[in-house]
Amino acid sequence: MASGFASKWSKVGRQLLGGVGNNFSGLLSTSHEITCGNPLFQQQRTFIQMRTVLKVVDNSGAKKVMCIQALKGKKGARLGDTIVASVKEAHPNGKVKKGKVVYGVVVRAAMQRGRCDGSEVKFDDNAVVLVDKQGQPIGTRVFGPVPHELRKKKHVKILTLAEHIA
Amino acid sequence: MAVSTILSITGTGAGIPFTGEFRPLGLFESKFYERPRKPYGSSCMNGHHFAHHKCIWRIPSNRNLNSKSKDSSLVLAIGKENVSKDTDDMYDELFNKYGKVVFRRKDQKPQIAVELANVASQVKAADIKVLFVKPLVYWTRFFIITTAFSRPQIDAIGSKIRDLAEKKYGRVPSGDTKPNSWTLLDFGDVVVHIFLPQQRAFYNLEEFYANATPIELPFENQPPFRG
Repeated sequence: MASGFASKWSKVGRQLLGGVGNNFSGLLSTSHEITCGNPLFQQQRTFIQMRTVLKVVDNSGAKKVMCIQALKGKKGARLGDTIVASVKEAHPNGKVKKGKVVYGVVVRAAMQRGRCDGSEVKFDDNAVVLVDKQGQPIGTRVFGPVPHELRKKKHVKILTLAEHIA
Repeated sequence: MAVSTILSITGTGAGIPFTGEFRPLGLFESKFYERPRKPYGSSCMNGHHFAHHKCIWRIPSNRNLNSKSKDSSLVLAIGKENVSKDTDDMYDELFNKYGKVVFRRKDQKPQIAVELANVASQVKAADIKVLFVKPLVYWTRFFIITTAFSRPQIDAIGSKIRDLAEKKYGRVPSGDTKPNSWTLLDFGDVVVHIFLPQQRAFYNLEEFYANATPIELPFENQPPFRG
């Protein structure tokens, strides 16, 4: 099985690993880790743009929204940006109804965002918190982790309502 | 794309860390550990653990999220080469010994928060509360929550607080410039919230931060609702 992984690699790696692969069955997991760490095998995540469906993580009543426009950025919105979205799915008795056009702040994005110390942060899903035109959150609580980037982007209100800050 | 991979496997058996050197995008070294060290670490899609030069954090979605607890399933900032097993154990020991958030005792004497609260009461803001939230949130120390009854009053409180902070402490807030029904001034370690009465009831921050210790204010608090 180690040779199976090795076959995805270049010749040099294959020769090395093929030889020792059989001896180190315990190293199977580590070779797989190398595969995962290799940029060739990682998914390339991209911006939040028109038609992106995002999850809503506050208690405003909506469940899923679809992005109509990213307000800043030519290629799309990233973590901490504001978007215009249309509610596609909502709870039956909530403050927002299906079909409403709302503004939202992206609080989790699958695309990594660099921080000033050189690290990058990325999440498993795309999530948004609905706000009104002035930037006041429509809901009263935010679920799930939110990153620090919101503080720099002047969304401290969302940080105060969040239950967990990444 | 030809990926030249040079592997050097050292050690005498399974269960030892080895160093691999890759050269597709630039020189970096990664250290791999045989077995997962912690239940929460950065993981690639198949749940294996790896240390990457560019710290990519992975937050496990919807798992182990305790509200307001610091030992959450957050990742370690893996990525520096000298992060080793010993360092993490040392941090764990420190945490267990001293508690999750370490702060000095003299943080409890909040001069600036009380000053700002004083200013707010001069402008007849009602129901001022100063909360010491450092044990709950790590990004700030104090919350000042206050109610104003009209937009011009919010404006007045805001500008008075800004002036005092700038003159006396030299701090400039980042926050709303136009008065909103919830105006927020962020002074780094002190965050001031100015609400209109219905917004205060709507957002209910006192309930959310009920675990924070309130700080005693040396003046009379006005009742929340004027007659």
